[in-house]
Amino acid sequence: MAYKKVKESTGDISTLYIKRESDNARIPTKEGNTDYQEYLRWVKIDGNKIKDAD
Amino acid sequence: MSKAAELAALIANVNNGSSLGNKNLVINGAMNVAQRGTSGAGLGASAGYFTVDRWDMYFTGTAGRLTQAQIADGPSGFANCMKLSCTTADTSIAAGENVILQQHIEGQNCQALCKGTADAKPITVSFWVKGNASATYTCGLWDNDNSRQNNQTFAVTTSWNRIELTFPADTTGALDDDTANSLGFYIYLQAGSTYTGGTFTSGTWASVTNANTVKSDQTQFFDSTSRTFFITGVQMEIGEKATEFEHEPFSTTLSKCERYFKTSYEYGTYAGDVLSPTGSGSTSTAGCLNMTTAGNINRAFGSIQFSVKMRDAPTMVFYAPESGTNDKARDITSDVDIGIDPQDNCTIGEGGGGVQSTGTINAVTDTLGYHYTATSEL
Repeated sequence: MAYKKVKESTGDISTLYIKRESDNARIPTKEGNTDYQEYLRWVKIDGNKIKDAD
Repeated sequence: MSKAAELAALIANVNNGSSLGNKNLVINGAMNVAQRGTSGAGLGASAGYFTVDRWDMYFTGTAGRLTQAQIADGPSGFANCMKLSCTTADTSIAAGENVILQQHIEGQNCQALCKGTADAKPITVSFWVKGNASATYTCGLWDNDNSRQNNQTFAVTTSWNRIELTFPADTTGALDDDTANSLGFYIYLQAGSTYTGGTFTSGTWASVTNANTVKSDQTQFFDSTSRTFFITGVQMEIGEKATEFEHEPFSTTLSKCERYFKTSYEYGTYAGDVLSPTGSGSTSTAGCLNMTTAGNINRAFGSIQFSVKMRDAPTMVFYAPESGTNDKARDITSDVDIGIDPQDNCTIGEGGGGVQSTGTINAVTDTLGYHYTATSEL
């Protein structure tokens, strides 16, 4: 699994969404979303780091 | 069961706190709704929802692979079932390996169980199963809020049989009144020694001890490529007796499922499908949603309103209608795909939200369309 930051139309990095690269899903940064929960577990693992936005 | 016995069981359950309608805590137990597709092959590398709505396949560490399908088969009164077919065997079972067919239930839908109180109710689960040969698997309830479990085995034959398992009331561990996963219905199809190595105690609530979860002599689903498992009519109700399965209109089940997974596609077409031949000016992409340019070639906007409030803000995936390309919308007029994102200032929540194009549009008069899937599973 890999994740990437996304940019808003202003060019700022979004604090509202991240992208899951396997299916280009926009995952909301909300604690109740289980995909976001999975990301939070993933990012705690040593060596895992979200990629910068394009 | 005779009609008199059925009535007696129903009355007993109602007196125990069950209801006469919407008594089933499990959603899509009759396996009628399949918004993601009707067949998924080669499953086993990672967990997920693949075909029939609300039913999650959980895999850990197995080399086995299976096909999951919604098929037109079932006992009398059931048009559909879920069929699992082993396509790659795995007889060298690692300790931590397991395969589970599961459904998670929101805490706020479990409050009538009074779990963790002196008024706690017994729970009865029932379901129809068959397989390619005789087999034994484990069915369990999993209290996710308090890490407690209760498991029982059941037998499968080559004919449809209804399994009825009653789990006693649990006065320990209240379930949270919220939108998170509180209670799980699990069928353990394969398990390594991490889950079979302890003392299996049937029908008893206890704190989770992995080694006590699955009976050590149960069938391992991936033992042979002949292995199949069919299931339908899953019901979980308050009370000590299994009552007749509560059939409901398709639209009712679909609405319940849409709280967790919603798609803009017409029913029977699926995410990424190429829905019409590409052709300049073609608008034959039934059901796709529209974005309008509002006179600006740099940005088009659209809105989504979910017909049912989703459990939480959903994960969104977008598709171009004509090409089926993931992460794209379609400029239908100019026959090109174009980028799409949730709107910055109107994000997509439980009830819907806004989308916007990214990239330059050919002309302000162009028609733009898109499809989406929205996921808020437990």
